[in-house]
Amino acid sequence: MNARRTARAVALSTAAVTLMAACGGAAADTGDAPTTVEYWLWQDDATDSTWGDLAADFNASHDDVQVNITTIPLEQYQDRLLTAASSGTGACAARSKDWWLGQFAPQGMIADITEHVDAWDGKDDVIESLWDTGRLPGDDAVYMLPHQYVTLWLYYNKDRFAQAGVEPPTTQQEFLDAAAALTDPAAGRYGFDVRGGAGGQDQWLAWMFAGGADVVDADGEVALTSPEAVAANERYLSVVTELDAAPPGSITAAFAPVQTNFAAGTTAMMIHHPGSLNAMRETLGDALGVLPIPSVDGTEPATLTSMSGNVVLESCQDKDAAFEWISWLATEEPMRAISTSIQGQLPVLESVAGAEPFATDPDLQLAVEAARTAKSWPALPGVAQLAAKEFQTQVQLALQGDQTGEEMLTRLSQLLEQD
Amino acid sequence: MSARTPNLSRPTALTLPHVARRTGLYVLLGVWLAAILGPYVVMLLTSLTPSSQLAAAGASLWPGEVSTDAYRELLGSTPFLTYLRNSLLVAAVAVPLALVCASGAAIALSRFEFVGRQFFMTAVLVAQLLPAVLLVISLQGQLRVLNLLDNVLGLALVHAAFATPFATWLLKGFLDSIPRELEESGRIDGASSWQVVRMILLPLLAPGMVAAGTYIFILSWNEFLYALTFMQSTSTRTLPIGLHLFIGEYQIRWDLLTAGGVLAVLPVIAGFLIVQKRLVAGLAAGAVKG
Amino acid sequence: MTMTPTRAAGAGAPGTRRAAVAPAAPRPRPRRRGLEAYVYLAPAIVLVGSFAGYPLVRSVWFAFNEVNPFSGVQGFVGVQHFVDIVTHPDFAQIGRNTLVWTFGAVALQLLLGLVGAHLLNARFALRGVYRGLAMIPWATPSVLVALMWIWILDPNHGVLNGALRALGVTDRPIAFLSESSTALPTLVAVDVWQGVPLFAVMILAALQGVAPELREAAAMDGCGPVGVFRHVVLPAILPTILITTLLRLIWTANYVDLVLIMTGGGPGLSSTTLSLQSYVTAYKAMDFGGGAAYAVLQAAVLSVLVVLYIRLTAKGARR
Repeated sequence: MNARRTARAVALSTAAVTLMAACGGAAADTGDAPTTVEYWLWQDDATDSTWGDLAADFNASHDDVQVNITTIPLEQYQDRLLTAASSGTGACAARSKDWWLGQFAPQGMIADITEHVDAWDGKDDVIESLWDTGRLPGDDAVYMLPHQYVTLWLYYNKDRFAQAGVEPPTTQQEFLDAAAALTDPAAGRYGFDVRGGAGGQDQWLAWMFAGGADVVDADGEVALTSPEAVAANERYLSVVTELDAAPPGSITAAFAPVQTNFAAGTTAMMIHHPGSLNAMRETLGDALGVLPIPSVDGTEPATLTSMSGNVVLESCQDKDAAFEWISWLATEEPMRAISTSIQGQLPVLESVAGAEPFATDPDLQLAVEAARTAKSWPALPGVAQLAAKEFQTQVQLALQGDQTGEEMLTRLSQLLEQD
Repeated sequence: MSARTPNLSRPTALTLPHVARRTGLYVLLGVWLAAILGPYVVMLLTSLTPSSQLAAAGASLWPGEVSTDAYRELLGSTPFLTYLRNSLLVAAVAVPLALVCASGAAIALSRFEFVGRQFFMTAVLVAQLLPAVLLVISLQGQLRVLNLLDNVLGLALVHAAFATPFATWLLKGFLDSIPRELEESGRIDGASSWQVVRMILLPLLAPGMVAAGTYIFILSWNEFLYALTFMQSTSTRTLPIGLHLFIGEYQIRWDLLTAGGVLAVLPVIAGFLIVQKRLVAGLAAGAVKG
Repeated sequence: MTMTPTRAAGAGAPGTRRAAVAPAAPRPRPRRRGLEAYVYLAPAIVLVGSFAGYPLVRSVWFAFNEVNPFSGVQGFVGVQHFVDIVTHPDFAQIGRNTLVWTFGAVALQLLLGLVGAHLLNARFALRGVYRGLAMIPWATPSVLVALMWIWILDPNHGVLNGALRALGVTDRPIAFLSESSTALPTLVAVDVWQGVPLFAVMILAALQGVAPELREAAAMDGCGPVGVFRHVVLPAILPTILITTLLRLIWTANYVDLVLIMTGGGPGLSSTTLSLQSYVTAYKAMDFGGGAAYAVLQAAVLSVLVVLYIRLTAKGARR
């Protein structure tokens, strides 16, 4: 009785399925066509063309492998990568932070590339000590190919300091005094952005390291509740809770507004790294100053070093092609290109690090020097979740006075102590 | 037509209460319109402001000079049009699919007596409870097995399934309000059951279908969570996901973001102006059954 | 498409509707029996069953297991997830936020929607165009709504802060989405802005079903406009109000997009709702079992509302 209707429906749906399968799905190359590697990354400046140029160069010089890059904002990066990997879709190779290694690798999300690295002829150019950033503690397998790293420092606005008659800080207490002196809400001027939003845990940890604290002690136990840590944390929180020296929105800000504020002179100081050096020089020119992050008493400097490297996802169909792309990025010319661009960070290759401008620019020298005493996030599984959400939640609660600094550190410690 | 007809024996034109009431009405209407359209107007103005002016601290509504650079950049160097196309494709599949399923179910529930009828009626209501947040985890695995992840068809199926319960409820209410005399006379005239449905019921159902179809389109066009999870490639992303990426990526490029917003909302505004009358009528007959 | 006089009831000429004011009037309903019904029902059952019913069952199953997104179900844990959730120190706040978000937003939408429906029902020029425009917020993607309002509320460049400062109300910009005292209320306000059209249109549709004769009768009996509203209009539109409110409560509770995009649940936990926590647990902490447990908990609470509704309306006529 409804044969006609059924027949029509079946015909329609078959046509629809065929149509959708043909033009609705994501492209996948097979056969003689070159393999396309899907590569994901985040960028500090999405309007910069360096990465696009690199991809174009690679595609022009390689016949069998082509790369297609997609930029994802850092705030959403980890969730999207996880979701895509767990669906088996999305990227084949991806940029990754060392924060996530402790979560990605044990879960089986990223591939063990030790064999690819051993067979790669460019491996000797990589600075030896940096390989560890791509390994899990106590394990020799390489999961992440180092690419660019940073050590965090303190930018300050010389003009604002001169106007207020304040000396650049060398200790943490001086920093706090300076922040207070440079704050004038009526004029829309503030001392420092605490960046309680995405990515803020890096500048916080740099401050903590400089303040004499540590994430894990010599035995590998989580040490965030030590007296030094509590003191350093209190100082950090006091920028908002006592001095009110942060601009509105600071406690939920991610990098973009922090950078905008500093570039516009709204804030007088910013903790970041060489990745933004060129952009800040362009906007602030001679008013830009760079300092090591103030330590407790001006001695024993320490800061955070953070590696951004490249990983191959376990779900990738053609890992060789993916490795070809990421290893190409770590050869001399592409490394120089990215490191000297406006988004450039410190190169991981000896050949590039030993040449201009890294061997000659005084500010970059400062960063390289700091790498000697810098520490990084340990590759604990909880670090990824801390970076994804937990740090923001806990620091925001503390900055709003809904919990004490000690409670914040306790919560973070509990997270890091988990398996 | 209006339900607010005053006593006809009183002259209406110039009495003070009447003037006051009319003024009050227009004031309220004006305030409401401003509240509704305000944000869109702000968005439009921002999209026409040159980016250099926006970066300067301080808020000012009117652009010093009107610039369409943002639109040019948006359409030229971002995948915005791809996102738009994908959203349209998904909706184009989801709407007919959901309508077919919902009409069938509505006809069954309204015109037939069968075992399990009560169960299905309750199920339609309970199905509204289903949160995307709960289902998305399982659906991700299912679609992967079916190889429908990152695929317009997969998302369209999920949208259609999600929209069908409410559409069914709407259409059933609509059907309930249609008297059965026509069908009965059709049957007396010898038409088969299917012919009765096809030639009498379905045409009568048309206004209800407009309401249901509009609802399904809106749901699919706006849907965020499933699209966020299932569509990972640039070539398959839908508009809401594309806009979301823009927000993080170009956080300081509000001109670009608002240009995208303006373009994304124009088809919706146009569509609504067209269907609003039928929509209200369809809702009136369908939803008011309560 | 010819229409017989009896047909005028539902197709858009509300004024001529002859139905009784209370839709609960019983009507003779001869129904066809047989298996035909299943054929009509089949497509819906297949579609909704596969892509809503089955995932529901599976996700509920996840809530009782430890689930890893890469290696799947890892072990049965019974009600452990639920125990963890309810005993978590943050649970009280999340629950409170969810109540404020859900009931606060819907209550405001109901009130404003009631006013709006009456406005839309009045006679004025270009009423059709106005009605179309009024619906636009509801039809706009949540991302876009979030985008517009984030821009308007921006502390340094936003129009709202600019206006507040120009009017002298505040001298320091208010970071609406970055302060725990204002984050949730701001979200509620935006949701109300988006949801009022739906209420207004649904109630409008119901208002149009109120026979004018009854209003006149009440007016002639001496009822002022308030009396007419209370005794004639309200009982007529009550069923619509009830169902719309119920549906809207459910949808709002499940609505995670706005919160996710505008505040991500912050600052701290001040705008975290149950459904947001469900998403965050699943996709940021990679704990699918825990995420499913949050969602199941919320669905269980909402189903109580549904049961209440069914009880309340079962006293009406059988359909």
